[in-house]
Amino acid sequence: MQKIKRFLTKHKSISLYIFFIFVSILLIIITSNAPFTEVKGAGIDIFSPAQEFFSNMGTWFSETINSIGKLQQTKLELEKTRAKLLEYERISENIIRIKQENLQLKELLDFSRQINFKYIPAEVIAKQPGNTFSIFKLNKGSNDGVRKDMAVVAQNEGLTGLVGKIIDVGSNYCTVIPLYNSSCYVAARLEISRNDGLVNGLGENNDNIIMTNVNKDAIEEIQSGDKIITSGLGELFPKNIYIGYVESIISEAYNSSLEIYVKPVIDFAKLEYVLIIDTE
Amino acid sequence: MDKNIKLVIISIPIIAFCQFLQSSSIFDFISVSGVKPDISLIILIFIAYNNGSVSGQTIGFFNGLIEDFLSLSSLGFYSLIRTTLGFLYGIFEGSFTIDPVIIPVLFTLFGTILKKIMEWFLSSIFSVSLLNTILFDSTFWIEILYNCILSSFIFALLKLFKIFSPQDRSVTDGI
Repeated sequence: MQKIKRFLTKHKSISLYIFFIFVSILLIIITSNAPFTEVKGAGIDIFSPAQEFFSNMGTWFSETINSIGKLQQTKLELEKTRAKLLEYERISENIIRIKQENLQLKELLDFSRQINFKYIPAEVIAKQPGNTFSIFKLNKGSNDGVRKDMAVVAQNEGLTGLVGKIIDVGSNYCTVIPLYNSSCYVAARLEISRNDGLVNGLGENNDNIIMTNVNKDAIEEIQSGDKIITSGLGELFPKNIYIGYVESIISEAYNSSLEIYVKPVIDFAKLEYVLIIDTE
Repeated sequence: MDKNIKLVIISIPIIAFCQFLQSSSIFDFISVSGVKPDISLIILIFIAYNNGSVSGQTIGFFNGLIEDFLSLSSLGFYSLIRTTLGFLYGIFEGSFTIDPVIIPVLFTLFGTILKKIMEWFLSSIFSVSLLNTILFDSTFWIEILYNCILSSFIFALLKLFKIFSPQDRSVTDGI
């Protein structure tokens, strides 16, 4: 025992280093397993209030500076909105008629499944501190009904676009993995041609995403600007949520399917408020 | 109180403060192409080099653990990386005289490169999903450049504080 003590004292630095490395590796191995994510969830509750504080500070700072320019912008937007409102009033009359027709058709086809969504509004309070991973932190948690794997959406220019999904939940905060993360996969479909595919993040900060596994024959039916929506397959993401627009289509001879580069609907750099979808 | 313990107790919250700032929207204003500087890394390098590997790796371990809680990584991922960085820079304690520009830039350059290589290496071993699957991409180079530019200023700022300087602490403790 004395020998060990003398050895540890003599080689204090190396001993401490070996100890820390051992603990770190153990933590990585342990926390990679699902049951132990409770520990990380507890950590989210401990550190997230501080992140929220800094986020609020940053928001106040930017809002104060931008308020002057925003006033003029708001005036212009008001005029545009008034014009759009008149147009939408005309469209809504048509929509009521189409909805009634849709209900009748569904009854005819005996559609019995009802989809009821509840939206939990949340605010983005923090992002990843470094440049290696990509996550958002939201100010809602299990106390607000948030659960792991819930889909997250946001509004942008009148469209509801997919942001990502919940991967970690604390009592009052949760973590979201965004669409452009390379480990985020979404079953998708082209809105017009109805071809299925799989949308995946490219893992880059410029927010581009890619749709793969699209039938090569569909190349004639797809155009730049076509909208891409969730297909609902796999039941992880509700269907008919906008993902993005077709930017470019790549058809390689060695590839059995198309690769479509997609511009997301959501501008992730400006994301502040989101909606968490509760499908239950 | 032992001077190392005092240094560790003071340094951990300071670096944690920087990590919280890095994760807030404040740093989005100063990011370049979405890349933020890693100020907490620069501070760790300075403290580890000036105070030895015991302090350096202890501070690195706990701050790495905080970063694990703040990020998508598994617990232990960043604590392993920052412990190693703290240990390595601590080994070279006092070997070089820190000039205002070249040494901070070189230290930060090697520290950032080593951090990136370790992130990529550990993610391969433990199957941790990274934002960037390519090691030497634009994010890598921008972060290195940004960290190197800020390193001289941060080193100069930290030199003003006696607690981080071993010589001044020796005088203060009457040794």
